[in-house]
Amino acid sequence: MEARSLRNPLATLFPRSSPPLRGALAAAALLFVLPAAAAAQEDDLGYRREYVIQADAAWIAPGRVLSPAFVGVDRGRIRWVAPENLAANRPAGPLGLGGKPPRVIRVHGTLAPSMVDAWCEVRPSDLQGDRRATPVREVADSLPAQRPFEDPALAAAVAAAREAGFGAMWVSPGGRALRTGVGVACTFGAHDLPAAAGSTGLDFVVGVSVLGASGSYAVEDLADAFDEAEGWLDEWDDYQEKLEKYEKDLEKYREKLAKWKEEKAKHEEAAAAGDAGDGDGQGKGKAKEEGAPEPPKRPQRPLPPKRELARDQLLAALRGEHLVRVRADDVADLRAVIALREEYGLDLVVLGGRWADEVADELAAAEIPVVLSLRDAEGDDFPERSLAARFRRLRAAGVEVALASGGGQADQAAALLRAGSLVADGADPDEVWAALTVVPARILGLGERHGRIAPGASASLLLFEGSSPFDLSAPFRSHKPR
Amino acid sequence: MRILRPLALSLLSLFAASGLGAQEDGRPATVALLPDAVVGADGALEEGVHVVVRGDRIVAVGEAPQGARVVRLRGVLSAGMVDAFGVGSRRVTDDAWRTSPDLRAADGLDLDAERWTDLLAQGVTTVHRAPEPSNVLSGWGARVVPGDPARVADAELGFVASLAASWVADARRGPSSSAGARELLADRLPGMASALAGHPLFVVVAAADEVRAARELAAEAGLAERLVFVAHGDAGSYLGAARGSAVCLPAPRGGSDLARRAETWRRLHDAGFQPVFGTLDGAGDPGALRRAAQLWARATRDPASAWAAVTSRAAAVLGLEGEVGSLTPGARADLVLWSGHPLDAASRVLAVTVGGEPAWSRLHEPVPVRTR
Repeated sequence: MEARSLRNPLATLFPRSSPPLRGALAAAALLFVLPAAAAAQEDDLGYRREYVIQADAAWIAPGRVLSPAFVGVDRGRIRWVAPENLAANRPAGPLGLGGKPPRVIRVHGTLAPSMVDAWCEVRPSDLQGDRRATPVREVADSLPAQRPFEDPALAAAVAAAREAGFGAMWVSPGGRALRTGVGVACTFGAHDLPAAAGSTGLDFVVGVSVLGASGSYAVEDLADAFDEAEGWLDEWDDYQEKLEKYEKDLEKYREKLAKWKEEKAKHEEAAAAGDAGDGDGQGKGKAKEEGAPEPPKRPQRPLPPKRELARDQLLAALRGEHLVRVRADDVADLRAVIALREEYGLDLVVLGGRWADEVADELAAAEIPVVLSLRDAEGDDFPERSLAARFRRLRAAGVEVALASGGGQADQAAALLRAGSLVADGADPDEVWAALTVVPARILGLGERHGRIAPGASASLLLFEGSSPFDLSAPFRSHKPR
Repeated sequence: MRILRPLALSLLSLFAASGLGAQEDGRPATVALLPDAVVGADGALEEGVHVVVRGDRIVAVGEAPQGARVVRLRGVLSAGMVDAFGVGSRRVTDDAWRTSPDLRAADGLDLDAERWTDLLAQGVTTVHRAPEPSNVLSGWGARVVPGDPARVADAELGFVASLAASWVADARRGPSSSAGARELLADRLPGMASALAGHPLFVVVAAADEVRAARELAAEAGLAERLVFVAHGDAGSYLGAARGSAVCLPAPRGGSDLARRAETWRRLHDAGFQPVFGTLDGAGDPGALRRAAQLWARATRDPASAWAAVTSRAAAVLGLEGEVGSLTPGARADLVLWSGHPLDAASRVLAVTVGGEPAWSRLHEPVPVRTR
């Protein structure tokens, strides 16, 4: 029994079953394991179904419309996009299994990719209202598992975000401090829970407008932090040099040690011979001490410079493993951020950027994207300071601009409305749509998965019957993959 | 895509500058406006509809009459929007006391404020400017026409009473509770019944018992027909009691406020409510009314109801049915030319006429032409 169970684990599970049944069970298990294994290559977000959506048209990318549009969806991802149903005549699989063409869902209106919120205040419950903000917390640690009822409040928020037209968002640790922690780009799972999918990034806040009086020094503190991190890198290099020297010294020491051992052995032999002849117990120890060779000194291993989580995160950013997202509004702060980019080559993103249009050319030259908050679409600004005007100026200078809700559920729900008012104020509709989809997707490292209707992209879609998603005179809804 | 089309510009200027009320041999000329589409009574776009204007009135909608000058307009034409209950940012009196039945909002109006132009630029052509409902008997609201230099078209459009405890229950100024306010209203309302007859009676409420009390009191005074509830506070928790009556919901101040109410609105719509909107606390935001309609459309998926809420239904609540808020023969030619459907967030006002006269236009900016 013992030996068999090792060969065949099923035998342990079903010890009394007959060999044919055992074989059938193994085959059945394989049937389940194989698709699961195929799905496991992509992260499993709980989407299971395969189907085809047939719509009158689809905005597959900003400025590109496909009509009519068939979108093949499987396990939450778009598999193909075509003007005809590619799955209609799918050849039958072996034994006639899996050959049935997937169900076609016919909808009226235009499909569009769901939007990507590059800046919002939706976050897991354990980070919500966390006043004792530890600057090094990582959002990814707080993301719930993809199971129902894991974080109901967060699930409700994500469901609302979906309803508002979003399919992905940046989850930041939140808080009003220079350093708030490490955020992460998330896509949404079948249980309306965010799942880490794109880049991770350090979230910083600088400037008087958000931090109050201390904000004016924040940007210098930020530069100092990176300076210090780089200083640590020098220390690390020193340590490496010392380590090398130590290794060499160690080699020499070992040689010396071997030599010493030989000498010592000889010496002891000689001493023993002398002892034998002499026979004097008292002189024995003395002779040994006097004549013995000195043992070599073992070199000291150098100590590595002290590690610190806070610094490690900065170092990861310096290596390009984290985005560096800085919320900054004022020109002076923005210039300091640009200087950071020039000095350290960081992957920088500016959030807020209320006065970014004043340094638009510098931002464009430094290739720093700006995420504007749609909250600013309403307000008593002068027309030349309106969000639409700032958006236009930044775009004209060649800055990559994303539009984000900049707030909680309510701001997400109003995002399309506010983005529409930007178009009404004269912004180009395609550019506004790009700023809600492809641009934030690229900035957040979700370029393959969000922002357009393409194979491999998320099947979280919008469906609108009006002239655009901004048109509220006709039905609009969001499609959650099944 | 936005293309500057000289043609569109010239048409727009014709619309805006020629004046629809131009005189021909001492008689007002008849002009047939033919926009790309008009917003019909059901909120949907209808193409090929002429809106025929003579003097300050719409005389026909549909076909152009023989010999009328046809003006082609690039854009969507709609009736001007109606704000059913706008409370100004300025207090009409700074020391009201319990009741001020003779107070008229019209008397405290800032006639030259830029705000009126801002409202026109957002397509609002009729405003019921109510006194701040901080007194149990707050006073008379005025019908204000932002595009008319005289502004006030009717100084006694409707009467405003308030039972909302958060406003009136202040021991320094009046009754110390909602119950006290109710007593005061019960005491005074019957005496005013004849003065109020024929006018809408707006009662600001914030709780179910206030709704019921207002209903009883209005019925006793014979004013039940003209009763309009103005919902203050969390409408979702008490407005069920107001089922069957006209209801005015406050247009949310900003987008955040607006989204929070979406779920409440969806439920109200499911319960059969067909409200109107007032810029009760959206004083600083001329776009609040249109946004309220847009969010009602999104929350309820009922654009027809949303458009009626800020036009025809609002006019009906104010007793101005057929006068404003609809494109019907006999109505005032308060017209708004939009770049798209008014409920499309991406469309904007291009030009406004009030009583057939050009009142506002966006002439200095390129005319957007939708290609998609």
